[in-house]
Amino acid sequence: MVDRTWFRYRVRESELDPEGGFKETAYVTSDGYEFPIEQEKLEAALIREPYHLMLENQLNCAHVKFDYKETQRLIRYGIVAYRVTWDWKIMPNHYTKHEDELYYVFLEPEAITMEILDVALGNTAYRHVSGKATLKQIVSNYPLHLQSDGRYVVQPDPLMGMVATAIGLRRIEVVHIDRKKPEA
Amino acid sequence: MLLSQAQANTDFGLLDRQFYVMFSFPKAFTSLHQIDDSEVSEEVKIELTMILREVLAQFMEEDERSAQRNGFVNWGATPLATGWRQLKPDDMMRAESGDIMVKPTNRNHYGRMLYEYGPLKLGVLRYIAQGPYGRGAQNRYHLALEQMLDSMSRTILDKVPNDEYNAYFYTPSDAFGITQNGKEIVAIMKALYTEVP
Repeated sequence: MVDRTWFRYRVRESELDPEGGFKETAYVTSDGYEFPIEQEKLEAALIREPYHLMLENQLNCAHVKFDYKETQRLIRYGIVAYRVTWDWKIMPNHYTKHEDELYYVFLEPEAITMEILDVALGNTAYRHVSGKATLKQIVSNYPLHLQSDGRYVVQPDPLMGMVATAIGLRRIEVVHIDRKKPEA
Repeated sequence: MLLSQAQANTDFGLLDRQFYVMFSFPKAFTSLHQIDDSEVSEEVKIELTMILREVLAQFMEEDERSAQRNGFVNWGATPLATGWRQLKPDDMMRAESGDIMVKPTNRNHYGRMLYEYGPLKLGVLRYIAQGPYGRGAQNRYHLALEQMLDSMSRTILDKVPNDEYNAYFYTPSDAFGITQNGKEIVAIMKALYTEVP
């Protein structure tokens, strides 16, 4: 059988960088808030209204730090990356302990699609999902935050709750996502 | 009202042993009961004890049936899973506080049991499902509970009333007492891991 999977990656020429890869573009939310590519401007946009996200913070067992390099690649989808270190101090060497793992925050979870989770975050578990899927506003590819079938955990989790609070997410949104964005 | 200390020690002693055999946490009930009220409120302790007791009882019942099926635990048939499945948006309402809650007139006992204090209960059950040592050392009860929770979480948004456009399902700081330096969830986890070798 002819492999046509590469068709998925066809993009407009204007979106391609002459030096290879995609052109990094800014993200504009549906409310008109802009998240530029430049580090200083992007950091300023994150800490401003309406998101008020932290760039670095320590809360109980969680230490979170904004990862510009990774976010630069992902901000075109409205995704912000954080490096998270976790250690339950009450239980030394607990299996949840991890260091500098990537966590992703969706600025507008309803704008995310299963295709974005696959292409941008590398989670292939959604390829065979028919219909809609449910997604939480903050996810991670760290095995602790994946369901047994590889999809992101949706159910409330104290560890993720602590990380989300450290990042500055006051509430966690849960949404239904489609495979692709509907054609305009 | 919580049980008297002597009665609780006897009752919880048996539950602890049964829970240990199934989920490998040796003193879950006794330790939860002994958490100071200033760390976790009495109401939350009762709710958590009830849900753990129900999970234990339903898995034990299912275990007897599964002896005929090569040890396969059919978690989908447990009343907890059925109750959650049957919880529909029409059963829910918006409370004055803004939270989404089960209508007081609704008679879905197990659906209500899972939904009330849902983030905390589902969060604690998730750590029980992973066992004391994580994914690499789960037994079949852990795996069955994990599958049950994964399945429930896929339909979590289907419980939100139809007229809610943008539902924030829960607030982590409220759900786990995180703003008070995480003392609620830390106390519960500490209790769960009491005497884990």
